[in-house]
Amino acid sequence: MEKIIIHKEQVKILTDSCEKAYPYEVCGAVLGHDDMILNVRILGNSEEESSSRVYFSISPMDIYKIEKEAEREGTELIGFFHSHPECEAVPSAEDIKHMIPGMISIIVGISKTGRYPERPLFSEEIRGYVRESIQSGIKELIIMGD
Amino acid sequence: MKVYISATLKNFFERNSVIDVPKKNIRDILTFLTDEYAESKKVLFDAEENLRSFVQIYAGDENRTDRVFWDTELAEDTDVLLLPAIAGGAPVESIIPDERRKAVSFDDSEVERFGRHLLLKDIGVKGQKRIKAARVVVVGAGALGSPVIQYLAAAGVGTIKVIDFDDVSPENLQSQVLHTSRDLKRPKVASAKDKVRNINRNINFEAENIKLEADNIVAEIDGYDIVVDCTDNYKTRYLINDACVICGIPLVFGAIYQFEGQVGIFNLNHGPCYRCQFPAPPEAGLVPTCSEGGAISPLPGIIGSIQANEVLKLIIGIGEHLDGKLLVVDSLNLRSKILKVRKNNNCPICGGNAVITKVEDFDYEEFCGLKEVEEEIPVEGFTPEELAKRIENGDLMTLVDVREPHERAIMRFPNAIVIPIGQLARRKNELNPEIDTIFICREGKRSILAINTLREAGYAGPMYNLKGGIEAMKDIIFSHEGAWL
Repeated sequence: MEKIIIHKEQVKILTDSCEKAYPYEVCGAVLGHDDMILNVRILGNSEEESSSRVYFSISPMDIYKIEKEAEREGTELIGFFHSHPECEAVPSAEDIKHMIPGMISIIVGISKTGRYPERPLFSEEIRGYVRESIQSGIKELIIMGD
Repeated sequence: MKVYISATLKNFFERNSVIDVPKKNIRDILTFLTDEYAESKKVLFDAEENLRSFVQIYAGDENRTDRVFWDTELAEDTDVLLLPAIAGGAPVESIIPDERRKAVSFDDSEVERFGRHLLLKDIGVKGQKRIKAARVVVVGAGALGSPVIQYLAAAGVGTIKVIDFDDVSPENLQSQVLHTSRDLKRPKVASAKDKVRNINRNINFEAENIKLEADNIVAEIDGYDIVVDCTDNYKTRYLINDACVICGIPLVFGAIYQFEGQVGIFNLNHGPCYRCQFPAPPEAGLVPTCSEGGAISPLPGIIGSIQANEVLKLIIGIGEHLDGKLLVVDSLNLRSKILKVRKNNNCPICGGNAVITKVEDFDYEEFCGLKEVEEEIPVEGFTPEELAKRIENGDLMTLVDVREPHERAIMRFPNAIVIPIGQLARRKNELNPEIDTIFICREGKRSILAINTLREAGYAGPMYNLKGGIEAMKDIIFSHEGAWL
């Protein structure tokens, strides 16, 4: 895998959810086929109430439900996304530990740019990664619009 | 038994999503699957045969990932699921940029001095260089400032600025271990400077013997990496918080009262601030400050040490810290808990539409109820001299002490009846409205509250306040009548 193709509508869903959750993290699933993202599903953050701003987890059962829904829609679960508030969009050690070989991992780095309402409040950086096999390292993917 | 494989994992099971496995417990099922599908073994297990972090095993709705469940026999119709665990998060980053860390070097004596830090994998040379590069402001060289300043100095923080306007007085010595009897009447920052020089002469120590106000705070803290709040009053706390939000500096907050203490980190990367958790101070005079309410000696040592530890973790960029959280420690019953602090989107200083954009524009005195309140009916009062004269003349009057029992144990007011403030309205019939009633508290603020409370409750008799409270009175009568203690 070399690239990810994502439509700008899906990009907007991603960035909107990150802005809404800021300064907390948000996470979710990406559905589609192979390297083509057709749908984004926000899953919130099951750690939100108990843990810090810099940690998220998705319940395995929620993921299983999404897989079944995707099957009915004729898509597949091809990966996950989460945000890094005020941090670079590069995987942390904890992120890497949880990367399943072959699954796309999208990270949105989001930072607040100003405190005045008339200026754009946030800037985002979207990057994608994959671990191709369990022995291989983490590879960055090229993100393309469709 | 049917084993359902998540779509995220089925590539390692020849793309099967359901596999029939003729086994009755999880251990046997896993052995069967990894024997049958060779590729799955190295994906599910690491080199030490531990299940990888991203694999979760469910039996029905129950999570059975832990090995203790693996030998339990499962019912015939149980569905076993092999699911992914997705977790992670932004890396905890140091607040000291790499360029500044790289600009720092150590000589042999520093390598020896900081050896115990260098040994720690999570600190090491990189972490220690960050500590040396860090510039930290400590506001308050009192009870909390004592451990904070000394531990930050001992840990090797390169630049420490201490701001305090006060001099060392005898009652400070009970908990402010930075100062000794020899430092009495000296500015606290001078005493702090000596201690830090004795610990490590290489530290750049900046002493500011000034009182922080809205017109000087930004200049004092701008350009520093962290501000540590070791103050004891609401006005300065709000002022520090607001200035930190405006300058974009994280704040490590600490507070103590009697046996309880709090620590939190505010305003880290636009996270919640002190105002998000505490939008307004309690009514003036209602909650005594630490200097009025007292605190057990080692408590600031405990709370201040946690503050210093949090400062170092932020500098090094390690661990889970109190960002967006408030640690509450009850030293009397040895209990502690961590409260979650949520960002308030309507916060007047850090919210989306912040109304406070400059600290100069905000009236902290008024916000904290420190201004002389213009009452509709002003409260009349006697100065200690006037009251002393009336007592000497044997004037007919009722003296009411509204202090709490433990405060009265320190210093009693002779011939005063005792009614704690909370019982006043209900016990107003004990007062004689035909004669003057004089209300007494420690500093003359709660007694005003007492008078207003009784007025609201409909008491019509003449009421007076002892100005400055028993604190002001003691110098007058006590000096020639001997100690009342």
